[in-house]
This record gives sequence, C-alpha cells and structure tokens, in this order.
Amino acid sequence: MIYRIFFICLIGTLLASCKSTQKSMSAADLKMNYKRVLIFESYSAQLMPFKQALDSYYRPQLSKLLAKHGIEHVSSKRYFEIFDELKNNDDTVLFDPVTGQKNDQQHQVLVHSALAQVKAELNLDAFVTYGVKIRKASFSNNIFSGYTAKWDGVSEPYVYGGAGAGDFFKSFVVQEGGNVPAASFYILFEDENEGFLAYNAGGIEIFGTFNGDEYIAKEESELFDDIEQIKHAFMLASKILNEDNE
Amino acid sequence: MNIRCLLLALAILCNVGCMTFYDPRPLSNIETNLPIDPQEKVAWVWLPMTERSDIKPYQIATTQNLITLQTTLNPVLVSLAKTNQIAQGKLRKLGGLFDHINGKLDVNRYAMFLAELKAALAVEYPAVKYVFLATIRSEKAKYVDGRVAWAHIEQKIATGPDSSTHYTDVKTLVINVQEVKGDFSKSVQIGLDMKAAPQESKVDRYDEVIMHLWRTFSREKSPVI
Repeated sequence: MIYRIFFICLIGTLLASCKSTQKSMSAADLKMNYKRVLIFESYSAQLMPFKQALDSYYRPQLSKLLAKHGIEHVSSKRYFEIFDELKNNDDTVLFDPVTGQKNDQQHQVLVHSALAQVKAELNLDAFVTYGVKIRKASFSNNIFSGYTAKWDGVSEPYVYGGAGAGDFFKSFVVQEGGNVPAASFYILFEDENEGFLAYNAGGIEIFGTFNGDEYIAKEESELFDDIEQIKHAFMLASKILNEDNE
Repeated sequence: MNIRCLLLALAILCNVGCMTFYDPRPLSNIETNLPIDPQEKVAWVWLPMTERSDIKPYQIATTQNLITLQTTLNPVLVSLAKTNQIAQGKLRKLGGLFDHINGKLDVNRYAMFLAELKAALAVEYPAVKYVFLATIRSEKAKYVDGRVAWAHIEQKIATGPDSSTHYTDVKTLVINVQEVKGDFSKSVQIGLDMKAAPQESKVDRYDEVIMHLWRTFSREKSPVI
C-alpha cells in the first residue's frame, strides 16, 4: 500500500512538472485556411516611447508579408467601435464600483462577442496580433553558454563589459543562472474565441546587463538603436508564414 | 519498515517542495517627519482597493497581525473593526468610488468619502488625531540568490542551491497618514511580502513590518539592528 502511495505521488509530481505547449499550425495551413484577417497591434506598456518608431517599421513589413502570402487584412478600427458599443450598454458592469476590481469574465464575454460580430460583419477568417513585448531571456554562467542570454532565436551577452577571466573561473565553482528582461517582436494568429492558431517571435535585444549582482539597465538612447536587430527579429517571426514551424 | 518510511518522506518532499520561508524584516529606516506623538491615538482604515481578490488575503493577514499587536502599539490604535465598519458605511452610502465601465477612481467621490470618514471618526473617537489610510500595492522587486530587498524591507526564501537573479512580484504596504481635523497628509511605504499571504493560523509574519512602521510614526526612532 505504501509503495502505491509513493508511486502515485511520484507520477503526480512528474505530471505536474510537465509543461504543455501549444503547437502552431503550419505556414501552409495558415495560408490555405485564413485568407482574410483583422490586425491588432500590441506593444508592452513600458515600450510606449518607442512604439511609433518601431511600428513605422513593423506595420508595413507585416502588411507586405501577409500580401506576399495572399492574405488580405483589415484594420481593427471596426472591432473597437463594436466593443465600445457593447461596453457602454447600461447593463454592462466591467468594474466593481466599490473595489474597482475588473470583472474579467464579463470583459471576456464582451471581447468574444465583439470578435464574433466583427468577424461576421467583415467576413473574416482569423485575427492577427503583432507587436513588441517584454519577456525573460534566460542565462547561466556555464562556460558553454558563452555568457549570453538566449531567447526567441537570438542571444546577447548579459555580463556588463563582457565576461572576463574571473567569470570564467567562477563558472567552475558557482552555478549562477537567472533572467534578464528582453524585447521580442511577435506575430500571433487566433480565432474569434481567442483560440490559439499559430505564433512566432524573434528576439530584438536585452534591456540591461549584470555587473556581478547589480543589474545595469541600458539607457533609453541605447534601446532599439540597431535597425539590423529590428529587421532580424521580423525575419525570425515571419517564419510563421515563410516556412513551416516544426 | 524503514525503507517504507523513507519512501513516504520522499513522496511528501516531492509534493511540498523543500522550501523554507522567512518572514519579512526591516532593512533600512523610513525617513519621515511625521508629527505623531507616541501618546496619541490613531485609526487604521483599509481603502476599498484592498478588497480586490488578489490583495484581500494580505489585507486579512495584516489585520489579524495588527490585532495581535494592538495592545503593544504606541501611538495607540483604536478598534480596527469599528473604524472599518464606519468606512464601509460611508462607501455604501456613496455607491462606491469607481466607474463601472472604465474602472477609474472618481476623485470627487473619493474626496467626499474622505471628508465624511474623517467627520465620522472625529465624532466616534474625539481623541484620534490621525487616520492611516492603508492600501497594498503589487509591484516588481529584484530577486538575488533567494533574497529580495525593497521598500525598507528584506525577505528571503531558501530553495536549496538556487542562485539566480530576476524580478519577482512583491506586495508593498502604502499608508497615507491624514490629520482627522486638519489638512496634514503624508504617505509612507514599506515592503510587506514576496510570497503568498499567510494562512489564518499564522498571525505573526508581519510583526516586524508593523513594528518598524510604528517606529516611524513615533518620535522615538530606533535604528535597524
């Protein structure tokens, strides 16, 4: 009996540690099934100072990419009109007036209603969201990692001023690892229920480096100043349509 | 039998993890010039934002902790239950402080709420000179090798040989001190927790946070040990 309990616990632990991943549809399937899409842009709130400059590159590139693959696209303007109409309905209570807490379920119902309505009205097949988001780039000081943080198909040195001999020798005795905030450009295909269809992203750059335990953030002027990084990120994300994501 | 015990212990460890929690403790003094005398009386009112589901467990735990320390606090804290009952009554009367469509705080209603709350406190507790309007904010703080230091507090979590640096979610207690019969207003903040709120059975996790906060409010400021 005791062995059964042990094995049940062990299996439970192993199952709990398994991470499910969503599988993207292939580029061929996307092109075949989704001929007309609505585009949403979404930039992390902290990136608003850079949004205009970044979007002036990414938006036309995405338009070209979709056109190249025979996918027609429309702007999100009509969706927001419909959403506002639904939101301003007298029966809608999106926030608790006493606590200010958002009613996520009600919000979700409104979003799905607006998506379904705009899909029918504009004869859409799917919804594409693109933009730049902040995510974690992971690193370890293992000498084989080259002291770089890796994320979304790219890597960048995370040690301030570069790794020296001290870092090299330290890596033999101290196992250090962690995350550093990084930016990625991404493209996401979803259906009208926000059901996942396909996703791909390309890393742009990390937001800072570590000098020992001290995190040194890059100056604002140092961020998104390399057009090659911005282009490379788009190239990586565009594989969502340019090749199969196996 | 011994092997059975070992396997059972191993199974339990697999499921609960090997974490050790440390309570938050003071790291640095809060620099304020609050004109509160230790002999005075104060009231503590939770602002309605602390009723939100992600914050409520911390509000409950802090309240329980305040109650257990209440008799030792100087300046003296009057009944938390009574003052919060008064605040709830004022909120109900106003129909809430937030817009039901966009969630924005109605600043005019908030001003009315404060005025009515202070007037009611002045009647109920004539000796209370200040009201502490308390809220709990969620933010990010830097986690280095199992330790987080933020808002005058540090807290540790031991996860074995884990050695990493990243930013983690923390809760910070923000107190707006307002004079009940005057216009004085000043805010202070102090770190509260980097972990999930304690269960009801644990009522002392925030002892040091509360005592450190109270040292700030009294004139006898003690250095951090």
